[in-house]
Parts: sequence; structure tokens; C-alpha cells
Amino acid sequence: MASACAGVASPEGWASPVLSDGLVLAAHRDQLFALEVGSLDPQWAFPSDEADEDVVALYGDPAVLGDTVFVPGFDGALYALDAASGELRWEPFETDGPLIGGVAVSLDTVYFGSSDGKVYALDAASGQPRWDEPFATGDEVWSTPTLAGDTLYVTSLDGRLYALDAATGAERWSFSTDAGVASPAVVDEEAGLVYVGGFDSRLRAIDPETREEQWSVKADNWFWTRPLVADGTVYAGSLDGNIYAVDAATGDPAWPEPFPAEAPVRAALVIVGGVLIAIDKDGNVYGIDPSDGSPAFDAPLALESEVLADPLVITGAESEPNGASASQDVLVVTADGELVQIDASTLQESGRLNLTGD
Amino acid sequence: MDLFELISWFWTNGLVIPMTNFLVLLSRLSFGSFGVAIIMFTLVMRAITWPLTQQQLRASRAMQAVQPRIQEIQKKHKDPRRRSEETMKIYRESGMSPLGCIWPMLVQFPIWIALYQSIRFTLGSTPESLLDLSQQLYPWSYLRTAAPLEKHFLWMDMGRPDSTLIMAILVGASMWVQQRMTTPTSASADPQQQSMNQTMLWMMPLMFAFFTLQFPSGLALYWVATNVVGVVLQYFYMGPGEFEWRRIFSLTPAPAPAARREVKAPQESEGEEEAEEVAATASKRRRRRRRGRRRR
Repeated sequence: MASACAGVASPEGWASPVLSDGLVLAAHRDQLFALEVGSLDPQWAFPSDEADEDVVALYGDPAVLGDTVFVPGFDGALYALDAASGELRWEPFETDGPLIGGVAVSLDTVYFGSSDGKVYALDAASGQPRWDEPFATGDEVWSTPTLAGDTLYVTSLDGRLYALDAATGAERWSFSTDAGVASPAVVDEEAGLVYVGGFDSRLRAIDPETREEQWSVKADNWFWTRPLVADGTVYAGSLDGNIYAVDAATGDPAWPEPFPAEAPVRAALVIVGGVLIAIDKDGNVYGIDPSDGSPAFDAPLALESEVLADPLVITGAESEPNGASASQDVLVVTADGELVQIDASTLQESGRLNLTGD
Repeated sequence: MDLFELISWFWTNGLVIPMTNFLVLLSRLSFGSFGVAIIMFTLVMRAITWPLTQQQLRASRAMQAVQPRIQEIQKKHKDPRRRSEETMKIYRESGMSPLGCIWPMLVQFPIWIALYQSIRFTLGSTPESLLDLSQQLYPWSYLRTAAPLEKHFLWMDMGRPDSTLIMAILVGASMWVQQRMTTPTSASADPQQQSMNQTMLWMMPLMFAFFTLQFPSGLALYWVATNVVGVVLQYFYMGPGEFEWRRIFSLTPAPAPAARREVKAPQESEGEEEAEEVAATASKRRRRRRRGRRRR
């Protein structure tokens, strides 16, 4: 009952860790921390404790282009930082709504959507708009845009998947679903399909040529994860607590039954060393055989903290300074601000660091 | 399952989740307008809790009717013990309990709190709260596909506090009017009681106006809607009380019927019987006025 007396729910953030030239960039709440790969020694933090900026929370994954890191803030601004020092490269680009999705980058342009319902394209070097005007969708944009060739795919809470001309921002076509979409579209060049999961509890495959739905899979609750495509199979976790695997071309189930997690799945799935790794909201990490959906380990690893951020896979060369180790690890940031390193070959914790320094 | 778990289970599954789903359903039925859904929700909730409200209003009316007699007792007896005994005697004679006005309100409190939680759940103002909402909705695609709801209503984003101060003023003003209609600020001869009534009359509206600046404007809309409904119900059930539109900007309370009667009221020494007679006459006058209004 006491919680009812609280005011507006405060945003916590769930940005995923990313790699940038020897650094792991991991966010917790309203700060992004740059840590040395391997030793995890802190290099810089943005905003620094003394800085005036208040990003409120970080949801969208940071993106790296050359030596610049782009950070979308819940305060509605996109920040461009020097990857080595964390210093601002150009004045933050402000929008009229919180930034919840991440940033897509091309050779010289960054693309992102805002809760003001618009999609922006900026020159990566200067922060100047690339399009005559931002592209306006019918509702808030909470997902990361996906760039495929010269087409930018954007999903919106208005329930549509938009295909835009990446150079001009002009709409090429759009596809309407039955409810809001907050997960990013995934382009499968091999199958020639675009996959998108939404709040209508459906994972859809859309043919960009015909602009028609090829197949759809119905879950018992929303899809809010980025679908994963590997070896002709599409994998996606649902908020109904199941992990689905379907044939990319036909949409037929690839497993006898969906894999049951113990809680809703929001974090994206990854395949590491031939094992499909899934993490549920309660922080249970599962190793699954991607061919038949059977458990790859006796029991899930319990991180004992909520996990909503996508995990990051780091290979041996990245995880060890001398590249000697062939291990494949997964980095996960928990809601408590713990950066947990998991050895995917054993599904055991191999390291843990509290980002807040507590 | 121990008692606390049982209460917690009932709280969530018996109150908060059904209310949340109902609110989403209303939003869907009102073409996605969350603001309209909140107003409809308030009307439905006021209708469901009407028996309790009616009981509360009845108790308030009875309390107001005996005020002149209580006032006389306060004047007549200086000894607090005796005063209390005589007051209780009046309550007994009138067949009322001094807590009569309070308990129906207390029973409604959990409903209000659950309602606040439902509105907060439904608003989904942060990604986390929308994620929580997905776990609260019943497995009915008509409800599941409704989220996220359209949060904009009039000039407000229902998920964020209203930055224009308009809602804060509306919440404070509507609550003040409602309180003013029930608070007998002038009926009590006890200056301490009068001062307390005055403080409460201003403190609650100011407090809620302040809350409005912190809470999502969806909650503020609920407060305004429920206050307006309360004022209307009170007006038709009890009359305007001591509230007068002409004196809305006056800081001092209007001379209430009881206070006006004080001018003609007998002196302390003239005894209790005469005071009761005056109270009875006043009550008759009030009934006559109400009948006249109804005829009109």
C-alpha cells in the first residue's frame, strides 16, 4: 500500500553494455561507465559526478562509431562522447521526449528515435541534422532503428514498422500491426525478411518486397526483445516467460515446445559457443540447445537480481588483454548495478563488479 | 500462506489487478482516451461506493442537526468531563455514533489507494511500469493490445505532473468546496474546535494541490472528478451547507445558519430546554427550505 503514496514512477534504465576499442561501456541508471576490457578497471564515467548533465536514466544502448560514443538519454538528448576520455564531442542534440531506444550508425550518420514520435538522422562528426526534417511517426519511438543498405527500419508505439530512405528520411512503405511495437526490427538478408515482435503478442516476418506478412507466431504476452536470427531459425523471448524458436522461412516451430523460463523475458537472446543464452526478468540465466530447445545445463544460473538489459558477448580475444584465452563470456548488467561476467561454456559466474562502487 | 500474504494476495488480485484491467477496458471503450476512461472510472467507482457515501452523508447530516444542542452544552458546561457526558447523551438520544461519519470513509480508503495504484500501473509512464502492466493484464487480446494507452488528454500528459498549475488549482479548489460544504466552521462555539476546522478546511486542499505537482496528472484528474461528483452528491443530499458562492473569495467563513441563530439564541442561563427548542426550530426551518427548493 505504501507504494501507492509515491508519485511518478522513476525511470531506472536498462541500457546494454557495449564494446569500444578495449573498453566495456556499461550503464547503470543515469551513468555510463567505461571499463577496461579484461581488468574492468574504471576509465571514465558519463556524466561524471561533478558534471551538470543529468541524463535521468539510460535505456538505449550506446553506439560506437570510430572514436565517438553516442549515448541516448532519458532526458531527451543525444550525447556524443570521446571514447577515450568521455568528454563531450558536440553540444547534446535535444528532442522533445525521452530517448528510450538505442542508436544506429552508418559510416557518418547516427539514427535514433525519440518519445516525441520522431526519428532523427544526425551528422556523426558535427551533430547537425542530415534530413530536412525528422520523420514523424504516429506515436512514441522506443526502439533502436535498424539500418539495412539504404533503408532504415523503425518501429513505433503506433503499431507500425516503417521503412525509410536512410539518406532523406522519406517513407518508402509501412506495415501495420495490431498494437504498439517497442522492439527493434531485425533484417534477415538471407531469407529476405524483416522480423518484428510487438505488443499484440505476435512475432511477424514481413517481406519488404511485397510488404506483406509471411508468417506470424502468437505468444501469450508481448514480445519486447530483439529477435535473434541464426542458422535459419528465429529466436525470441516473450513477456509470457517462454522462449520461442521458429523456422525463419516458414514460421513453423523449430522446437517441440517453447522453452519455459521462470519469469518474463525482456533481454535479447545470444548464441555463445553453440549455446543459446537467455536471461529472464528475475535474473535466471539459461543455457539452451538451439537445435531442440532442451536445457544445455542442469540448472539455470541465478544472478539474484532483476535483469532487463541485453547481454553482451565478449570473445577470448576481447576478454583477455593478450588474447590468449579462447573463452567466450557474456556480460550482463543487473538492475542493482552489478556487472556480471558469465562463462558461457560452464554457465558459471566468472566475475562481478559493482558499477556504483558500493 | 500466513495472514499478511493472504491480505497481500487479496490486495493485488482482488483489488488492484481487476481495477487496472477495468481501467484499460474503459480506455479501449472510450476510443483510447485515457482521460475519458479516468472520468468514467470515477463515476463507476462512486456508484459502487454510493451506499458507503450515503451512510457517510447521512451521518454528517445527523451530526449537523445536533450541532446547536452540542454548542449549547459547550457553552453551559465548563467541566470537560460533564461536557463529554452530555454530548454522548445527545448522540445516544439521536441514535448516532460520533464515528458514523468516519468509518464509511475509512472503508473507502483501501479502495482509493488500490485505485491510485491501478492508475499508476495503467499509465505506464516509464518502460518499467509498462513492463509491469503487461503482467497485470488479463489474457484477453482486447485488453493486451490496448497498451500503451494514449496518455495525452486536453493539455496534459496523464503520466506526468501537470506543469501548468491548472490541475493543482482545480484539485485544491474542488476539495475546498467539498470540505466547505461539510465543515461546520461557524457552528462550534469552541474556539479551539473552530480553529481546528479552519485549519483542516485549508490544509487538506493545499496538501492535495501540492501532491498534484508531484503526481501524474491522471491521478489529479481522478481527484478533480471525484471531488466534483462529491460536491454534486452532497449538494443534492445535504444542500450547500455553509458554502456560499457569493463569499467564495472571502477568507472568513460565512455565517452559518447555526451561527445566525445564535443572535436570537437564549442566554446560557435560560437553560437547556430552550436551546433544544431553538435547535428544533432551526431544523424545521432547514427542512422547509429544502422542500421549497424541491418544489421549485
